[in-house]
Amino acid sequence: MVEAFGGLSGLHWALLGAAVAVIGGGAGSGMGITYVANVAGGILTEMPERFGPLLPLVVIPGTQGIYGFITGVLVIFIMEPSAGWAALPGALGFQIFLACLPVAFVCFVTGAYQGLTAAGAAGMVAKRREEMGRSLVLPALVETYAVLSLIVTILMFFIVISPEISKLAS
Amino acid sequence: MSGTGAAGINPVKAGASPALREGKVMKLPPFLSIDRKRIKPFSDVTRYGYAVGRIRVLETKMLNTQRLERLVEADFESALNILDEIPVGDYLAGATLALEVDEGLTAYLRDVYASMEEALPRGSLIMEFFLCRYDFHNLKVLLKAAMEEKEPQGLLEGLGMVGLDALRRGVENPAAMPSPYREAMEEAVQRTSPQELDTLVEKHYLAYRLFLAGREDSPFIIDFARASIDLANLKLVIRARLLSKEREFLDAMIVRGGFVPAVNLLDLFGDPPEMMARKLEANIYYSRLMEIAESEDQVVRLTDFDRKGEDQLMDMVRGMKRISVGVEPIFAYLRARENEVLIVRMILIAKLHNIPPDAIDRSLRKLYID
Repeated sequence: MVEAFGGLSGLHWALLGAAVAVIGGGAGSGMGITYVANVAGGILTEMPERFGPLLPLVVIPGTQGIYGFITGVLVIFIMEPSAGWAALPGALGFQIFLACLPVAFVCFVTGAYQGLTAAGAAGMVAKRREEMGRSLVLPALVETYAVLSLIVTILMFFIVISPEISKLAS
Repeated sequence: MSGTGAAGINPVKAGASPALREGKVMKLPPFLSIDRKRIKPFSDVTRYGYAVGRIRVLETKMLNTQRLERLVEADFESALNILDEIPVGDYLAGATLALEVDEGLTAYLRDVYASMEEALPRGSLIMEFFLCRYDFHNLKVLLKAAMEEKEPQGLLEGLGMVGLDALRRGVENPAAMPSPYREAMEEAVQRTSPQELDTLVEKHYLAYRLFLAGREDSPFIIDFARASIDLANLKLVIRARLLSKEREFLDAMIVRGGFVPAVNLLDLFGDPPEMMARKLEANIYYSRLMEIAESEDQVVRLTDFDRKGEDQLMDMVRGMKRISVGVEPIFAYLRARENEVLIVRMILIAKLHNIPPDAIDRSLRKLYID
């Protein structure tokens, strides 16, 4: 039996990390899409032909949910030791949990704020269709930080934690 | 079910835990407590997002500077053709008389309010902020008619929150009216002249708008309501001086809540506009007062003060453009539509009376959209 950490086993910590990442990313995206969809709904009531230019703006806050999902999937499929989850020590599980936190928090916050930015940018598209390209740039800037958080989480998984898990097998 | 636990304590009535029952409730640490100002942008976009989306499109179909310049230069027929390019034109088709212009514009405004009302979330007070103006106007007309024992003239039907019938009943029985109309009616009994009645109703109207702005919790709208109070108070001071009113009258009629305290305004009483301007040198209204102080004719001064005051308020409304989603863009849109109706009416009536373009241009107010 491997040792626990903080009263939780390695599997418990890993699952908690995956859950927090999926919840944070998903909730941020849900909020962000709701904000921009509210504004887009109003624009489309008056101008249904603007659906095409508005769609990317409505979709863009959804990426944070995808990053949370990717993190959750990586934990479940990549972090499992070859001897099974029962062989994962609590301390290593806690490391997996910590590695999930950048995506969980950053994606939650950026998802919501990207929705706000996209809601403002939707007003640009309502006034001038040709502003579609420029209007996408503004919420895309918020996206940068969500992407960075995903990169850091992945680096932690593959550079720091994965070698430790490989050692367990050997 | 008895509703009591093993210890014989009803947790709902007594409080769920002993700590709660003894009032020992630990406060949340500061970093966990929610500051309403921080979540306002998020709640605003959820509440007003749909309405803001709609007005972003509708704003593209408003009277702009280019159309305005063409309107001023055109004759009546051509002006109607130019107005066909924007929604208001549909309501003025075939109008040949001032009455038809008025009816068309009232119908247009009614539709603007109705379409915005259906887009706004439940519980929003922004429509009441705009529509109470018509209720107070109708109330003023009804009270004046009752005072002078004449038929009411100039009532605006179909606009307002309370409705004309309710106001008519309210004049007979003020106790049945909601606040603040009840208070205005009760105070109106003590007034002896139509002018005093005007001032009294205006006072209640401005105070009520400030109350509504506070409830809506938007600093921009609160500032707008406060600036409106200041402009009305300054006009009252100038008018009281022209009509040689008592200081007590002024004290009773000054609306509280503006940026300029009532004490400062009472200090200005009796001063000519030049002196008022000097006393208010550090104030935002200084330049406005200086402009009217330069005018010779006192009646022109007041008319000009009205126009300049409206322009100053429009500058504040234009400032709301920088808020992407919230109650402020909706406020700005409704105010801009009212301004548009006012400008169109001025131009068309002037055209019907063959007033030259130069004279029309001088009397026009600022537009929301350049």
